[in-house]
Amino acid sequence: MNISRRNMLKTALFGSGFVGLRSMVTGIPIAALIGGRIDDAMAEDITEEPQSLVLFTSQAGDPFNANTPGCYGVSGVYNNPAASMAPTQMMLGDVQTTAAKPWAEVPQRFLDRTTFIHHRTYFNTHPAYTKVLTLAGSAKSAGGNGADQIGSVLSSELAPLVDTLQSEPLALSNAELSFQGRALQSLRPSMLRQMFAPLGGVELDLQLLRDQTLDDMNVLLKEQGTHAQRAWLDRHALSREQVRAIDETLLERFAMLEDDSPMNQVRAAVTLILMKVTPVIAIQIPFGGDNHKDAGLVKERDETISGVATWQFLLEELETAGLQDKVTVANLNVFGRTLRNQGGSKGRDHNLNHHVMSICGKHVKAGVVGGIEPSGNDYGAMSIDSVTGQGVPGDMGDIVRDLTLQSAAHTLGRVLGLPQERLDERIEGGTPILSAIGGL
Amino acid sequence: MLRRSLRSVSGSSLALLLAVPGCYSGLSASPEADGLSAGEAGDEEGDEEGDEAGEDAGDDAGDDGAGDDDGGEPVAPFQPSDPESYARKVKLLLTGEPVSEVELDAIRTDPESLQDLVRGWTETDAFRVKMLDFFTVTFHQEQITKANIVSQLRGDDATGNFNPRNELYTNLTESFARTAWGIVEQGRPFTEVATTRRWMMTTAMMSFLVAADDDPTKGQQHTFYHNSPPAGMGAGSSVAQQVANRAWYVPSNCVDPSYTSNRRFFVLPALMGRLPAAGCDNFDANAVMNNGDFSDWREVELVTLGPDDDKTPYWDIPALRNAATLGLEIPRTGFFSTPAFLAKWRSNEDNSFRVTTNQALIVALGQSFDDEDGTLPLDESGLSDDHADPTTVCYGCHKNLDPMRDFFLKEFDPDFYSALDEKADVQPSFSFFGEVSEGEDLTDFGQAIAAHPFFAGAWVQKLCFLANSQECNPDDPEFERIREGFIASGYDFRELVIELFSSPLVTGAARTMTHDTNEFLVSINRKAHMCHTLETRLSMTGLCNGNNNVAQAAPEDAWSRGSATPFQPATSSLFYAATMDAFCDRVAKAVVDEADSPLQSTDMEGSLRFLVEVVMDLPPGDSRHYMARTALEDHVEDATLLTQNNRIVLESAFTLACTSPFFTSVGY
Repeated sequence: MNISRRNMLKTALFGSGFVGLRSMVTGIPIAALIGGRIDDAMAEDITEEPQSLVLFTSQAGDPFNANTPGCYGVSGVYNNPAASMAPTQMMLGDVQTTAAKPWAEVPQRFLDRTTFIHHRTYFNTHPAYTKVLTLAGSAKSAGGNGADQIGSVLSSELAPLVDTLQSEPLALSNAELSFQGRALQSLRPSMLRQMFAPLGGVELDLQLLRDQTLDDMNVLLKEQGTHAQRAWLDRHALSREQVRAIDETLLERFAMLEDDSPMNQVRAAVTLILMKVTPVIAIQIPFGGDNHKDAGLVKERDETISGVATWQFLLEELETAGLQDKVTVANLNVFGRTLRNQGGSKGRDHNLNHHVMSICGKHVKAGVVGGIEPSGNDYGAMSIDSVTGQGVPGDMGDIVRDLTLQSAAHTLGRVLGLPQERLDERIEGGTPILSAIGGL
Repeated sequence: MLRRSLRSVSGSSLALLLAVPGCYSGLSASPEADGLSAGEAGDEEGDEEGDEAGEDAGDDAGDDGAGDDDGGEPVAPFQPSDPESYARKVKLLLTGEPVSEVELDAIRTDPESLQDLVRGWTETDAFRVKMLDFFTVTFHQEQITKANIVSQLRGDDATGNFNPRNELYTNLTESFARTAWGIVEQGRPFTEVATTRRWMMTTAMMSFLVAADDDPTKGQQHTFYHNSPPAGMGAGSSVAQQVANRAWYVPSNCVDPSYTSNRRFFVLPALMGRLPAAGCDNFDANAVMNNGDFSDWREVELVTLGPDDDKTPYWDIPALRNAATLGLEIPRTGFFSTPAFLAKWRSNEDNSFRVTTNQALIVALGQSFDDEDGTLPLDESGLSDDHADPTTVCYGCHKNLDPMRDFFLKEFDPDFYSALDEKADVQPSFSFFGEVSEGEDLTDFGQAIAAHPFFAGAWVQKLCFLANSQECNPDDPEFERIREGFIASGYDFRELVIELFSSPLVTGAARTMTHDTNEFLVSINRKAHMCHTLETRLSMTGLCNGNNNVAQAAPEDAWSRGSATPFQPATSSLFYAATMDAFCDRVAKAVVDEADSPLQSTDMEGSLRFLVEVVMDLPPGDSRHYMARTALEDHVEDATLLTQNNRIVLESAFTLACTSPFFTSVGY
């Protein structure tokens, strides 16, 4: 049957009943089901063990995209020229690819569960960071009324599944996170160390007494207060209980956080996940920063090496804590960087057309999604075939260029274990990239 | 048995409970989102260096309002606040001081009397201190670092050995807040914050401004000597001789044979008694600055020098010390040209002051550049070629932004805000949301901002954020009444505060349109209010100081680049609760039984009264006074069974008071 894509979607959506419903359940695009590109028998429900997420994110616009798998072998693309960043062949699962040397030296067991998605972020300014976090307005609040940040979306959906203390995400860096419209405070590892310094002896007994008194006080106050006051009391009392419930071994981990370096952000993140505080934690791993004037791309080199090392350290820490199958790691920056050689003392500029989201986790099928093509005077992410994950030039993929960010987010949501039905409620537009999702 | 129930005190039969933690029965399984619409402001504290380069300002103008990122939750029905609660809220926000019995009685008897009380509160020194904090943050003056200040002297980013006295950073941070306060105190139109050339400065700051006024690549040689003076100089050389010869006597042989430099980022710290030589990092000498030069705050008028006018050199400390005017080539004007503002909003060659311009508009007018602003500029001079195509999305903002950034481009190096050798040949103009004017320099930019119709509403809104941790609805007739009153008063800021803080917009005493769209909040007590309140009530300072102070973990008000909405976390969290536990415990140990402290374990009765009436701000007439007093007394009695150390007992009572809803919230 030769059905145009447009007609197929128009006639098949729900009106055809079975196909539409099956698509909704499995999360597989109707197009793929009808076209026979996915064996219906294989289209199992892949809502497996839900994951927590460590998201490394920044408004710096790091050149993460310039030296990752999928960025090599394209004429005119200028990868980092340093010898320590030499193009090196590597395997991502069954997929052979090329990347800068630091990536190739990562232990294979991590690479075998990592995908690199080439997409666009659509914005070119640092202040647009929060817009990128809302997927340009496509990430929706739970009520469907107004935009929300993707961290907030994922956190609120995952919290009941992962059973965390709070639904709000948490930032251990400069990430400007908000939750359902409310700005969230960033907490640094050094602050956590102070906040959770353990008590003992009579000090602990006195604290228990105080808690009892505050509880009694709250009960009395709630008899008289306004809605706003009662809401505040409830929330603050709950917050206090959450503090008290923290296990001592976890408090000891906080005591070891000496500074706010990326490594200690990693340690703090792992501890917070062990505490089941929140399903989504944001940290910052520099990969070259806002490197307009990075002559010789030296800073890019140094921070890619250290950044990959930190990323690997995170995965190792998760392993040590027994969390490797319960936590997924991904990144989302405000934009990528230009890929052409600007020569002389110049580094790389902002590039709204190309960003790479890496996702590493249990439900990830390793590989490279999408690709890059000439765009304006530089390069941008191609459209994507949602089934194969191949980049399709000329915007002819079923995931068009302007929906690649949303689709990357859908894919992230799926590998976190969220059902497609929920993702469709919370992310408008885009579709999951099936080649990156394990189990298909 | 250790515990007594407060319920038993309130009239039920006496019951003793085991000390079981977490017995609060009023909890829901997970807190509901409170459906706030605080916008998407973010936290930019910390490392700014990655934010500096190459961005264009103003893309997210439409992203700042409540409607862009609201929670989608329905607003809870409005319930009016009681006088006890709103009196405490208003006085805490304005002064940090507790409400007195007399004041509470007055408000209960006649709620209209709140306005007179607020007027009185705005005349206190505590209010002045509050406003200084508010102005420092709201005018974006608070993020000076060594790197972003030395670049204004040096013309590049390397800090080298720039090592001025720390008081210089404090001076630069505080200057404009003090200037703004002076405008308020003198009853001058608040629009002068954009036009004033009468700045509060110290001698040290004046020296810095002069040093930053010249091309950083040019400088005259200075010699610091001890045993090897230049010809004609010696240990007994007068100050005038030293100034005239740029040869400075150092009363220590740490400079032998001598130290010579023409680089002002070395010379200026040296004039503060700091030379980059072992043993020379803190010396006093008659010709260099003394402690008083960092605290001699006074109003100084900035005067623009012509090309042939003499400039008082930055090293002529005696002349600067006695000067009431300061001649500069750069026509610094208003909040947006202070070293502190420029340091916070770094630009670079690519960005070319667009961020600086946008932030100036956000501060003064509460509005960022927006591609939907249809105002046509006078011309397109300064419009960069990259954004000159009217069919691109960039054009909508850049057509207005680029000619306006020329006000800064004319005077400063775009990478470092250091002075230019010659003014750039550009023709700036102002065009923004219906207002268009031509201009020559920064003073014209300031005039255009001051005259803009957005000014009044922007400052009403800023105070709404201060008061309510969220915006007021600008369509609310009450908001409009206050805005118009501000204009009619001649932009009298004190009158604006009085009107707004006695308005139901802030008190919640009656319903307004704002309460229908933005659920009335009880907020956490964020860091600035928390610290100031505690210091005021305890008559102590420095309770929150120090980088390692756990108070630094408390949420605070901040402004992000490009956002007209401040970052203001209002809801409690696990981390807020943990912070308050640790902070209050720390303060308890610093306060109890200290000399002159009102909290003495030898006077438990008086200390408990102080905790209830002052720290918790519950005077005897407050309906919650008795409950709180009983709670503390019972706690002391129970604690005494655990330890005979009265100091520890009182510390625990303090922590209880400090972590109670009456201190951890604003609006209870």
